[in-house]
Amino acid sequence: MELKKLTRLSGLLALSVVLGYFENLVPLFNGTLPGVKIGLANCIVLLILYGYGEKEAILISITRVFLVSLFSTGIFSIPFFFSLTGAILSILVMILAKRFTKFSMIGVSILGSISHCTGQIICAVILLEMPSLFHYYPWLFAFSIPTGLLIGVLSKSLYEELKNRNLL
Amino acid sequence: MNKWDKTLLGICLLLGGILLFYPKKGNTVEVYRNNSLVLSVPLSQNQIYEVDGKLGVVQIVVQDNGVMVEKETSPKHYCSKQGFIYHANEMIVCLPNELVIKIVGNSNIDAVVK
Amino acid sequence: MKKKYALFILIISILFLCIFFLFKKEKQYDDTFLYFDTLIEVKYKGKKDYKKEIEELFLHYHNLTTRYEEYGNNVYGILHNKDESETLELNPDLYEMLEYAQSFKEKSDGKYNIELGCVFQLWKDAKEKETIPSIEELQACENHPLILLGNNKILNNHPNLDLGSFAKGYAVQKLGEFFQEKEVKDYLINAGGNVLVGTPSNKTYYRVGIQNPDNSDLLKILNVKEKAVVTSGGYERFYEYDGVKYHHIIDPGTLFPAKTMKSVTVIASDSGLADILSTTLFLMTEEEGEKFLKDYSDVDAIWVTNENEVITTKGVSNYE
Repeated sequence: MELKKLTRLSGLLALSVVLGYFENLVPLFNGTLPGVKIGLANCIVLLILYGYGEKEAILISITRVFLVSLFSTGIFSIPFFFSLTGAILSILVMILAKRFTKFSMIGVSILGSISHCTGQIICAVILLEMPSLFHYYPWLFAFSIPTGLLIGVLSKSLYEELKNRNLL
Repeated sequence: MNKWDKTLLGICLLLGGILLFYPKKGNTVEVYRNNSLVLSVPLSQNQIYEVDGKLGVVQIVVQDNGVMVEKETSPKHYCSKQGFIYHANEMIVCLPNELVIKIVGNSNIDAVVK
Repeated sequence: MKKKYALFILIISILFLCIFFLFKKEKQYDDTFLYFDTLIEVKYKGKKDYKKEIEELFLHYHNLTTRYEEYGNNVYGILHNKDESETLELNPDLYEMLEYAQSFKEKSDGKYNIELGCVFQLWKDAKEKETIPSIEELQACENHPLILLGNNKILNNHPNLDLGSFAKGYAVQKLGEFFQEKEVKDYLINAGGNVLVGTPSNKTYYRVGIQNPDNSDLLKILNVKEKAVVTSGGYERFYEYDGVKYHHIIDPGTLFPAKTMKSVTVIASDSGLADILSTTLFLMTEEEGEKFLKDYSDVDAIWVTNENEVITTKGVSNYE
């Protein structure tokens, strides 16, 4: 990988780790909905997906999960697996959506957001053996729609700006 | 945001709405007196229970996977007029007696000692 | 390009699956048993099904403590044996139980007494005939004392013993210890209201409700882990004669069902202790009970008096 790209990606990775870490510190809905986030780190993933490519997006996405877990919940802890499943499902869905559908970055972001929370809850139900957790899914799903939209809009404008200034 | 995105958004919102408001199956009847749980019983067992409300004893009937208030001492008999509820997150509210009866999906209580 | 992709995803998936199985998924087991005249529900999360071992454990203690069948110098054998020797050798597990019960008799000044098998039997028979025993009948009982001689031997004077008041709790405690030995941490044992819990794996505490003696309300809901909760009360097993209710916890002083309390709930780490204590405290006033509990750290109790007053020890608030 050429140096410029490596440097830029590393910077973006660091940024997504910071965003991911701080997002986890802010509990939304007072703990009633576990695992709910705004998903700012997904902004970075989208920028990389559109700005660099699918492989890079997968790499940064997964590495981010490892790094954030390293600093917070602990690698290979139970929440780590939730995040990992969510991130993997999310990036796969976004790649497929970008390749095969006519959705713009916004639509892709919404799909990514939905699949992230879906992946998390499926992982939680399997690992904790509590099918009752599906109880929370409607709320998680509902919340991931506006957040996906927000991040999508944010990412789109960021992408266009950065592209224009050749910073990506 | 192109037209595809908008359609996607529309479908997602619709799905979200359905998921949120779809009547959920419950299996436990919970009765709260002033926000603390006083009774937690299975919805599947046809039985009559008595709970102390603020104005006196309230008789609650669980039958055919539904629950209703049968007898109560309250000025306008609001609770008993509400009839049966069958679904999770439905509730019967008896303000005079400070009771709330709900059906929930998962029992909060693991065991009862008698 | 596409091949590299597929390989990458494949590797990640395999890695994922490997770590998955590293966690060695545990299964949730839920079994019921019928012993000590009660339905016992045992729920636990473990790697193996222990139904057979649990059944054996309960059967073992059932056989030792049953008053109606002979199993080699068990409670029945102690009373009915035709041995001519002065001493009787018992199964060590049974001897252990008797030692425990007798220590309680001493501590409670005779209030807790397993030697009244004759009295209990008279009440059981009377209940079946729907009558009550007369005080003369009850006083005519020869309550031979239990004399422990050490080395699993007792004096063969045919004491009429009834371990009903703590056999269940004791067996449940042994089951709890079995689970701990097998590293099963998440368990809930409910032996007809005699509850012992471990540590739940998907939440912080188990929620155990205490029945209100007078109706189907819950008196209290406790958040517990690694504790036993046992209630003694007269309101579940009783019968009526001539308009008066007679329950099954006999006061050794009056030889009639105790009238001191409506119910007593004990929270302790040991289920056998909780069972014995709940019976003992039921036979005392609340003041005597509080004094008695001074010797036990980490044991809490909830009394429901005849006037429907609910009194708790200080520690109970830790469970709410």
